[in-house]
Amino acid sequence: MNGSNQTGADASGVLDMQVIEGLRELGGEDEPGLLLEVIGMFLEDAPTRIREIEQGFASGDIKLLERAAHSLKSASANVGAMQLSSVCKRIEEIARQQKRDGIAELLPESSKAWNEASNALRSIQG
Amino acid sequence: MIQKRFEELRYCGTLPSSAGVGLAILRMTQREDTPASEIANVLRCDPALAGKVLRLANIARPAGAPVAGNLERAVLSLGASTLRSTALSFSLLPAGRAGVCGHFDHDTYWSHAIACAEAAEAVAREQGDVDPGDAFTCALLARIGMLALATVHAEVYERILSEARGRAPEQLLVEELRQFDIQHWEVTAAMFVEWGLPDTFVHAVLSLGLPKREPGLEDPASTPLAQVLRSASFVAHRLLEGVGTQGALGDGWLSLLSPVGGGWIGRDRLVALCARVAPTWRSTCESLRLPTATLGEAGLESDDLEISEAETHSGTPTQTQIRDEEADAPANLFPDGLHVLAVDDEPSALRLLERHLVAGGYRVTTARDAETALRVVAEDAPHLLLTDWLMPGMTGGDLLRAMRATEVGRQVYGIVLTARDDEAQVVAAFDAGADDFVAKPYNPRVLMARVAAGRRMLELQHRIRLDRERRATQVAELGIMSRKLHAAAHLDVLTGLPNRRYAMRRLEQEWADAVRLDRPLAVLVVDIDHFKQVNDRHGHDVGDDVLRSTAAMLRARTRRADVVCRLGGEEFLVINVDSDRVGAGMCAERLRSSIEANVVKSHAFEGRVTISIGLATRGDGVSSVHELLKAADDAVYAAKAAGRNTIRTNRRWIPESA
Repeated sequence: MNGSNQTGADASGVLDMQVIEGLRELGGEDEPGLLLEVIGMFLEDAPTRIREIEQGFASGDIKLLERAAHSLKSASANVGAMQLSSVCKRIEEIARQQKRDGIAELLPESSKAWNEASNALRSIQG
Repeated sequence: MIQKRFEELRYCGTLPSSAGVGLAILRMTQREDTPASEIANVLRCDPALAGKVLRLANIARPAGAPVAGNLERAVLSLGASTLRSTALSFSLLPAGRAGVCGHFDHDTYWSHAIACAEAAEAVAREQGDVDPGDAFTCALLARIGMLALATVHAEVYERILSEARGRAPEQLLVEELRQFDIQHWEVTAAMFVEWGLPDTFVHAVLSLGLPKREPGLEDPASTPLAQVLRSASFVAHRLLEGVGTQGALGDGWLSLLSPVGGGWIGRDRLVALCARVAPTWRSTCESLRLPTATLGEAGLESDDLEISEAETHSGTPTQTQIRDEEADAPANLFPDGLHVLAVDDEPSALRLLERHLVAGGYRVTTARDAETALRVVAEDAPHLLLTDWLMPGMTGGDLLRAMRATEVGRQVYGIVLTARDDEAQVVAAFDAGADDFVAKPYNPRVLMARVAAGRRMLELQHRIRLDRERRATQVAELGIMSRKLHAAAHLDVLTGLPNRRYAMRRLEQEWADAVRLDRPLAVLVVDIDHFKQVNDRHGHDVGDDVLRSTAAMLRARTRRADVVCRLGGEEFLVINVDSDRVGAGMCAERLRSSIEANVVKSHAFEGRVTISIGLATRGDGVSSVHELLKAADDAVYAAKAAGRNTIRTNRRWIPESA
């Protein structure tokens, strides 16, 4: 995985560059702006999900917690933020069993993964 | 009194009632200034009704026009009165169909009601003194009273209906009055009052329940609308003759139909109307999964033409045409491309889905929640739905279930995106009405392959449906047209008998059949003696009367299986199917003596004519149609030479006493 020439040093460590290249290809000549558009959407929507995860945990709204984690899991995978996606997946799995055990430990992890991913994605945005 | 009985009815059971949306539409359409957008908004609250409105609007479009998806446009194109009736009848329909009254065939009831409505609209258009929209609504709902009685008094009414089957309709009314103290026309009238329908509707249905007058007498209570209803019942009855055996619903209608007042439109016009109304009625019923008669049954044919045997051959060009259109159909199945509705609450995921689909050549609409998706389904009737499962509010499963409850939504191919590790979700998806699923995170190529598979399935369904619709309308329309053309081309206008062209074609067929089945075949060439003298002495008018009278006598004195044609001038041909020389000889003598005895009465003439007959049979050296006709011609020449009013054969003379 060596896309550092195109996307900056920060991005390559945190993001799955195959996914990023895949997005670039998917846009192709028809929609060259697709990659940046999807990244923009993700950066705009993700904070809400993070907030919902935290709120859901704090208030005991497991359903909200599960849905937000589920949503952020696939959204982050779509832009190659695999670390974030994997933390969200663990949170979702716990929540689906109507539990909260262990989520407290995962929250700092998710927030760290989010910070890294969003920085990396912003560096692609340029 | 009626009102009191009706109140009692209301309290002892569940009357068919308009649902809230139906009533709201009813009220809105009564005010002419209600904007279409407002009505469309109310319609959106009831996906099933919205679906039906769209469906109706699309059915009403000319063939080949693009499918309308916009509710507001549909509202405008249908017009207030159709909307009103749709709202009323179709919010009643689902409740009415699962009836408990065994003898009450709900599907046939509604099929009949729709036939009545279409026919009433057509009659009103023709007459001019009743608003066609009013006629449609009133006819559609005119017998809602029967439905009400069947719903409230299931068991008793079942018995009454089965007893009334095959009897005069008055019997049913008498029984209803005896049992319930109210008859179904009165129930209808009371329900009309309750629904706020116009007084003219109420009077019209009430007058249908009054005792029948003597034919030809003016009925003081009858109204133009009532006349339209009666005419419509006649048409509906003819259309439904091929459906079921709901005796009490159909048989009696004809006897209600007496030519009273100025509203009478004439039987021939009504028979013609049947043919015009049939295609619309069929497609409406088909879209509602209601029964219609099988193709080509009695209701559509004009029974005034003698030539019905020829009709069996008119089917061939129609079928060829269907096959031709099938050949180029696949390219036109989705003229604007396959329309996919993608649903996901997560915007970037939705954007990617959209991009994959657009890159794959699909037309895409996106929705971020199930509620929006449902509206798109009702308005734009997409072909394929691709939805995420877990969404805030309604889930993908809720969306599918709601969609499958609507007419339009049932046609949509549904693919659900499920979590990879969740089998329960997959099962739930299929339970909710999904056609397929793709696990997330999806491989784009697999996803596109699944969508393509859905497309193939839709194409198949679409082709089957198109085929069915096309066959129904084409056979109905082209069949009638070709029958008429056929008849016109093969009919002798003066005598009403088939002409020479038909005679020759028919003789070829009979010859081929006779050879194939090794059956005898005989023909008689009949020539009126001294016809030229009749013409010269009494004029052509009298000559025409002689021809007509002779033709009628020939037809009357031959078997049903025999074919009588006018070859031209004073010459006729009788084809004696499956007759040998002896049988044909007896037929010839019967004709000769009947004509001899027949007195032709014309304005300036009263007298008899005679005929000479030449008989020829297949075999005995006669080995083709040409030889058969030649032999018969020679024989009739011999008969003339022998002094006329006699019979000769191609072999030996037949004594007149034979």
